[in-house]
Amino acid sequence: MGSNVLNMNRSRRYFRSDLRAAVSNYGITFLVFSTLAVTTYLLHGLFFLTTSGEWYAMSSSLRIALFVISGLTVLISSPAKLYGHLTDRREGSAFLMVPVSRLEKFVSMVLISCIIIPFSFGLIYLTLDSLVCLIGPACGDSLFQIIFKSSPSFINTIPDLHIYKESFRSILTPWLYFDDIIQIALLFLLGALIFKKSKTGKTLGSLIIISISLNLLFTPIMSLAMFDKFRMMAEMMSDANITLEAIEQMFPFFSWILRNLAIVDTLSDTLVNGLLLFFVWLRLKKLKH
Amino acid sequence: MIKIRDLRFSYGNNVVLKDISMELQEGRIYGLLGENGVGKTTLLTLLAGLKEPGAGSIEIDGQKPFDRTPSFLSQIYYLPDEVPAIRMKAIDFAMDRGQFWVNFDPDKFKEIAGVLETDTSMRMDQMSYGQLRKTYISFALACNTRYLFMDEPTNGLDIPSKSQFRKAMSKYTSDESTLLISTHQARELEAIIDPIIILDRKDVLLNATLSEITKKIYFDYSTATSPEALYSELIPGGCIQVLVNKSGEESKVNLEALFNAVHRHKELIKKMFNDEIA
Repeated sequence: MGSNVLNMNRSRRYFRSDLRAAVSNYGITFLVFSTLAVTTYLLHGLFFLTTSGEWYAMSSSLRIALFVISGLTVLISSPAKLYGHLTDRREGSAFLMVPVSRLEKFVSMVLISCIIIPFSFGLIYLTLDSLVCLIGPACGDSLFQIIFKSSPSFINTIPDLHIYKESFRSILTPWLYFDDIIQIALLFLLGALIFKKSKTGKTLGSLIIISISLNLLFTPIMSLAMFDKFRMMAEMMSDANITLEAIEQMFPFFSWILRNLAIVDTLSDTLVNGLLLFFVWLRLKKLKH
Repeated sequence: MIKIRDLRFSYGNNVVLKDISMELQEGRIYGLLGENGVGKTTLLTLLAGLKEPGAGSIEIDGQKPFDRTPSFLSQIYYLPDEVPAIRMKAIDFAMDRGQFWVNFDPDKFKEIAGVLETDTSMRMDQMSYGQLRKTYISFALACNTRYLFMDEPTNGLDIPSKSQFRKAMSKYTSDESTLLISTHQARELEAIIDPIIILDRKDVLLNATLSEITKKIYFDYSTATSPEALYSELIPGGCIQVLVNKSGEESKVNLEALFNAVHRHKELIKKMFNDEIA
């Protein structure tokens, strides 16, 4: 039987089996959402062709909105559809009884729901959108070009941020959103493993409640403790004559954060993702039926 | 070997199993009997590692079930009273899942499914409850595990299927395997189960082989009733009485009568089988 923790041959076989089950449970929904780039483009064009006699391509903003909405839908609904059944006594028992280690089940679950589903969705959607834009010139820039090549020009219009403009620009790079995508998937995977019914809705509700509670708790504390410093810093940064050295001397920690926003963002996301992974693991370990 | 020591388990404040201790020997088909709610299913799920004991311990070949290690899981199979209807053909399910049990035999699965008259090319979510159960029974036996725990396996089976089930159990379980079958259908399974475990609320009333039972208890199938009977019941053509076996004469065990006698004289039976007064 090999190791009780990790056996590569067994892990591979289990992953393949888990992936087949994922295709069987979520394949059609996944296909519908990941091909929306083509179906909505065609429906939109056909609608205008029949009503006005001309073919109108969808605007970039509409295509971006549709991509974000369908992406989020896949991201938040797939964990419940793929692994929500584990809280059911019948299916959960069958899952726990499979002679594969907890680590192997955990890795397979995380890989499928947090990496394979969201990123293959993105890849298929963006590829199809690029193909649509290649065939139909009225389409303009593909989503792929918009996301990966565009420069966030609005930063230049905000004078207050002139000193750390490059730092702010750095956090808008699409690569930095990969860990956020994993984070959303992990949150909803955890919700799928905790709640017995209405998993996605209850996870959303819990996140809203947690967010409001944290705001109610920390906003007054932050305001009382640091309001003066924040105001002083904002005033200094908006002053065109202030030097970077002066700010950094007065607020070394905040300056470091502002200068290294991308690192701070990555570190905080890694920390949160690590915690979420731990909770998913713990839930899997303590799952009983 | 299965060793259970001072096992406790409760659902919140509701204590289901309290200080349960017993040993299950290898190569036997144990029948687990008990009234509703005494913890038969709970005990099976604890043995299968689906629940964690509140106190005490369970050891199966030296392993703790709740650790759920692959080496342990590959040696057991638990067939619950309710099984999931998976969106797969039965044969695909068996091939897909069976690969994780080291001794799984796909040909045996097909053969047992044939004996139980189950169509393995049918999708499991389109099967009737009885067909689904028979698919899982075939799979459970084809896994060739050392320990097989079954919760009400004949529930949902029609009359011919129950007979096929008994046939399959006799033919396809190995001599080294230990089976623990929880059932309310004592009559249906009395031909295959031995020893018998009778579980009471928070106690084990009896854990004995049929030969041990008949040494100490006599089942009288005559028409005359005895005032010394621990339990008596009218049956077509006479009555059945359960008596303390004073003569040492052997008799045929009637599981339902035994169950009722044990429940009426709990302390006496426990003492008898603990060799205190026997």
